[in-house]
Order: sequence, then C-alpha cells, then structure tokens
Amino acid sequence: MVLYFLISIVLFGVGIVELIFRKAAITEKIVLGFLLGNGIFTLLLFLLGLAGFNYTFLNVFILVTLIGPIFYTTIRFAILKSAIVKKNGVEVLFSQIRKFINSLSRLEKFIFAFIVFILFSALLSGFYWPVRDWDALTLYDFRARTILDEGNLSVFHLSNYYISHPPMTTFSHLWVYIAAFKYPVFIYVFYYLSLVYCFYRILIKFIKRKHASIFTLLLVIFFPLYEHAGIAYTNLPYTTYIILGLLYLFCWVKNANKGFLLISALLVGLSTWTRSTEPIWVLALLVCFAMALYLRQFRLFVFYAAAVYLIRIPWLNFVSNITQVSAFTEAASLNYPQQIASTYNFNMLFEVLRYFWDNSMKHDIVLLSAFLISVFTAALYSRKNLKNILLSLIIVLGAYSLLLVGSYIYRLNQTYANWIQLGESLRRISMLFTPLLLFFTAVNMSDLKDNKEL
Amino acid sequence: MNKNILKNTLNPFAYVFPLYILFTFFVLFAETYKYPGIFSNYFYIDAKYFVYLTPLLGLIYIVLQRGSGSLENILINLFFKINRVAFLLLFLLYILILTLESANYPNYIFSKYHFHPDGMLMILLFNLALYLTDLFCYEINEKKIKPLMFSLSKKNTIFAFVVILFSFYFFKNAQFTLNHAIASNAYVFSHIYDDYDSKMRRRWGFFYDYMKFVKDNTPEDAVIVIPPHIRPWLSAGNDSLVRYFLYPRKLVSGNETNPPDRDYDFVIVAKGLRHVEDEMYGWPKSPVEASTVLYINDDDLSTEVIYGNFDPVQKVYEWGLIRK
Repeated sequence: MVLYFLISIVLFGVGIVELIFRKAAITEKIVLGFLLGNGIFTLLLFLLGLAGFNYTFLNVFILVTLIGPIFYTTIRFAILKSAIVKKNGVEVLFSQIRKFINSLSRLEKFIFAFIVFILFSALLSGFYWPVRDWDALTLYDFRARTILDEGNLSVFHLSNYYISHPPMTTFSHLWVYIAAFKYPVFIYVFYYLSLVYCFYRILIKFIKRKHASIFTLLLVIFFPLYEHAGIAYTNLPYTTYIILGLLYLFCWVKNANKGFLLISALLVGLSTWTRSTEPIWVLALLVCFAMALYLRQFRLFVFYAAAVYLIRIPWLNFVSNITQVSAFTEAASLNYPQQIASTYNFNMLFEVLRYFWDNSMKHDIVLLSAFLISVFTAALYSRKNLKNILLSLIIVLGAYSLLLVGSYIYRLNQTYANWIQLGESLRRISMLFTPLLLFFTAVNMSDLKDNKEL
Repeated sequence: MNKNILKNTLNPFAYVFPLYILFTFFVLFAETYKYPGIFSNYFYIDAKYFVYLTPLLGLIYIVLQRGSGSLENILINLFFKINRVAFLLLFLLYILILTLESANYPNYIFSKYHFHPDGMLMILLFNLALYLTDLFCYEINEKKIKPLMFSLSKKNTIFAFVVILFSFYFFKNAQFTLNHAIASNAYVFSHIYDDYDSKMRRRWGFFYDYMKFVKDNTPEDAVIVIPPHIRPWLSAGNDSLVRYFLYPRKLVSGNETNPPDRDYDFVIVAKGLRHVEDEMYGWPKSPVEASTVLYINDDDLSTEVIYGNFDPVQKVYEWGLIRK
C-alpha cells in the first residue's frame, strides 16, 4: 500500500511538472515529481485538516487516488492530449540508458559506481531504521502519530512547541503510517537522491558530463548530507528544496525558460513549508526581482512571489491564530532593521560573528576557498561571463549574510544560555552551503578551462 | 630504450612517487597493527595527510612523467596494476570485518585478531586515492596528450591548487561517509531480522526498555510525575521526549528535592543517565506515599514489586514506578 501511495504522490507531482516544465527529461520529471508531489500533497493534507478532514485510511486513500492516477491521467489526456506512455516509450528509455552506460569512460564508470554504492547504502538504512532521533521523536514524528491516533490536528494546540516548525515532514510520516508502513525514514533518502540527481542534471546544462560527475561525487561524499539521509529531521528536505530552488532560478537567469522559474518558485515555496525560520527564501525573491527588472518583465516576479507566498502563508496564519502573536508574520519581520539598529552592540556582534564562524563557515572553509579562487580567477580572465560570476557571488554571499543576520536577530531575542546551545542546529542548517559552493565553483572553473589568456 | 632506462634509473625523481607509495603503506599498516595515531605521536604529522596528498603527487607525476619506457612509469604502472586488484579485495575485506564486528560485539576484531579496523579504513582510502590517480592518468593517456605540453602555467597552477583543496575535502569526508556506509550495511545485513523494539533499543538503550515498562504498567489516562528537566534526568525529565513513548498519558514535571505535590497516579523512579557527581543520581530524593513500587533492573530487565511507601534510601533498584 505504501508503494501505491508513493507512486500516486509522484504521479501527482509529475502531472504538475508536465504542466509547467514540459521540456524536462523523463527522469528529471519523476524526481521533481516526488519533490513537488510530496510537498504539495502534505500541504493539501494540512489545509484539508483545517477544514475538518478526518485522517482515516479510507479518506486518505480516496484523496491519494484522486490526486495521483486520476489527476495525472486527466492532465495527459485532457490537457496535454498525449498518451500516458508513448509507443515503445519503455524500450526507448532502456536503450537510452544502455547508450548512456556505454558512453561512459572508465573514470565516469567508477564515479557512478561509487555514487550508486553510497546511495544504495543510504536507501538500505532508510528502509531498515525506524524514526529514532531526538527531535524527530519529540516533534515531527510525535505530531504524526498523534494526528494518526486522534484523526485531527489537535496536537498543534497541545503547546507552542508543536507549532515551532511547519509540519511538512510530519504529514510525510503520516501518509506512510496511514499506508500501514512503520518506517518513514525512506522519504529522507528520496530527498537525498533527488538532491543528488537534480544537482547533476542542472550541472550538465553548464559543464561537461565528466566534470559534472566529479562534482556530483564531491556532493555525495559530503558526510552531513549523507548522514541526514537517515535522520528524520527537516534539514535535508529543506536543503533539497532551497538549493534546487536557487539552482533552477540560476538556470532561468541563464536561459530565460519560464519552466525553470515556475519550478524554482514552487521549490522555494516548499522550502518555507519545511522550515519557516531560515530567511534564504528572501534571497531567491531578491534575485528574481533583480532579474525581472533587468528583463523588464515585472509580472514574472509577481508570479514568483505569489507562488512562494501561497505556500508560505497558510502555516504562518495558522500559527498566528494559535499564538495570537504576529511574530511569525512578515509584519513583525519589518521591525528587524530597526531592532538591529537600536540594539547594535559591538561585543554582541563580535560574539555572533565568532559563533557563526565556529558553527558554520569554519566547516566550509576548504570549499569556500575553492569557490573564491574560482570567482576571482574567472573575474580576472573570463570577462564575458561576468554576469554569471557576479550572480554566483551574490547567491553564495547572500545566503551567508542572511543566515548571519538571522543568527544576530536570534541572539537579540534569546538569552545567551539558550542561544549558545543552538550551535549544532546552525551546523545542520549550514549544510546547504556545500551544494551551492560546489555548483558555482564548477560553473566558474569551466569558464576558465577553455580560456586562452591563462 | 635501454639507454633511457639506464639514464632514468640514475634520476632521483624516478623513485619519488613509488617510494612515497611504499612509505605511506608502511605507515598505514603500522597504524593498523599498533594503533591509529602512532605516527603523529612520534613525528607530529597525522598519517591521513599522506592520503590527502596523494592526488597532488599524482598530478605532479602526470605533469612530469617521462616517456612510456621510463623506469618511473614502469614502476608506477606496476603499482597501479596491483592496486586495482588490491582495492577491490580490500574493500570486500573491510565489509567482512565490519560485518563480523556488527554480528558480535564492539571491539571484537581487535580483541580476536589484534588489529584496528579504523586503520584499515585509511589503507582503503589510500588505495582509493591511488585508484583515482590511476584513472586520471588513463584519461590523460586516452587523450594522448604529450607530457611535455604540461607546464606550470597560471591555469595549471590554479587548477593544481583547487585540486589540493578538493582532495582534502574529498578524503576528509570520504573517511566518514565510506565508513558509515559500509558499517551501516554491515550492521543491517547482520541484524536483518531485528524487530522494532531491538532497533529502538540500539539507539536508546535501557531508556527505551524503561519507557516500555512505564507504558505497560500504566493506563492511558494516567497522570505521571516525571523528574525535573535538569542533569542527570535530561531524558526522563524531558516531557516532550517522554510524551512520545507514553502519550496519551498526562505528564507533570516534579521538583528536584521535594516530593510531588500535585494530583497524580504514578511517579517515575529514575536514576538519571547524564554524567554527574555520584550523590546527585536518583529521583525522587524524598519519601513518597504509595500503595506499591514496581522496580526494574537495568541489567536484566527483571522486575520486583514492593508494597508500601517509597523510600529513596531503601530502593531495590535505581529505576521503577511508584503507584499512588
């Protein structure tokens, strides 16, 4: 039954991808289908719960069937007017796979074999272990089990702790439990697989396949990401959504294909449905805004922001209604510059900088150095690609800056004793920088490779 | 051809990379047999940096390699050929070792066979480093790029520096990722039939058994007093954590020294799991009125019932449950 639920959710996502990003390869559609399907389905479960939906097996089964096979079939026949599976489609797919494998060099074969081994290990652990990590038990999985037992959303009213993070992963666990499967950790492995695969697919749009495989290996070998594939925390799904959202946004900036923009909007929106405290989504909005102004197509920014906010707002409003406090809404965040200015304190700033260095930047220093070398060298010797180099710098440094500002604001609002214990949490959040640094180093270095001036 | 071989035999650079390979293997084997870290104890250099440096030295070898008939090339190619087979064998051997360790007990391999699996991991990583260098050399040769075309140009220098950084990053992470991947596979295959309880016990130890004990001995509508959320009761006193195991039972946090003073049905008896001074362990610290006290032994999970009030001085075991 869990397989049926999973396939239906993926079909739902593929249906959405077919509508907005037809040109994607079939495998990319399936992977994006999982990401969008699971994200939007969990949001749908939440919204229905607010409307009084009872989370019984029958209800969820009907819902999954409606949004999965029925929705997808409707999209294919009625809107796209094409067959679900093309004639000889499966044969063509297998022959493409065979052709791909035969075209690999020895180095690439080894790299892909190594990547497959690591991914297989993650998958094995994902299906074997139950949810067992601290925060997963106390928050994400507890909410899922309680919703399963009670059939409603009463758990969110138990205490403010249970509304501290959006429930994307909670509802992911819920549909797995409703499907009578005890081990939902495999979902996190699928997020890991999706991140790795989409990273590779996006990278080969800009650099040679061999180099893309090397950088994908560097991503797969990154221990915190691999480790989190077996931990039922929100960090890995969040990293997957926000990073792929930013990378597809970069593709749009380079390519102007609106499909990339729409996919990016949904992914960035879903990142806020996974974790709402990190402000990296603001960076995506700013980049889109700047690009829309440059292209003189401001409506694109409006669509982008609307997509992000449509996903973001329901949870924030729900929390506001429970807490009767507007701290989670955008209105409160407008006070942040004033708050920072009025409480500026050099000692506290130094304390936050050191904390940020110890728990975030220090761990990326090697990749950050490689990235900065690639940026400065590309800027000096590859002037025709200055726009890309500038954009890579804005995205990477922008992400660091937003997280630093977020850390400072958090410090202002917390006692020192509470704040200093969250170093481990900042380290987990910071794992999003590695894919960014690897991606943009690869793109900048490939610009250099063919440069005759060097 | 013979003149070249003779000429290169007298060239000290011909032996640098082969000697480096032999030296690194020797150091890593020594660390596996004696203990990881022995080299740094005597020479203040961590042996793993030799592994990190391998791609750089391999790169220099590629840049400076002479014609195909050189002695250096013959030696290196021989090492690479042996390494291709050795890498696969060592990989399978490492999986076997970790499987044996998982199937028995921690430190099984060292106690039975007297070598350290951690050291073996570094040998495996070094094999991997050599294999990757081998593959890169093959790629260069496939393109039939003449060695003399390589030079210390700005581009090559920048690329070399970036290769060093990536090599450092790769092996630093590979050490953990590869070990974790192999160890977790080994554990899963050697415990494939474990049930949910066994898996949770693996992560939570006795605390999981204790929560099951409390759950099995209290009704769903019970009100249970738990220790305060301070050391050493950071687990048993964490209401969010305990709630996961005991929901829908209601939880009330107790006071550190005074007896529980609210309406309740049960009170947790908890030693505490976090490290503190010996006299700080144990809760409640005062007598509690009770009808029965059910104790559980954290060694063998046996239980014992005592009728009457709870006295912290006369506990049977350190963990239990007081029924009002």
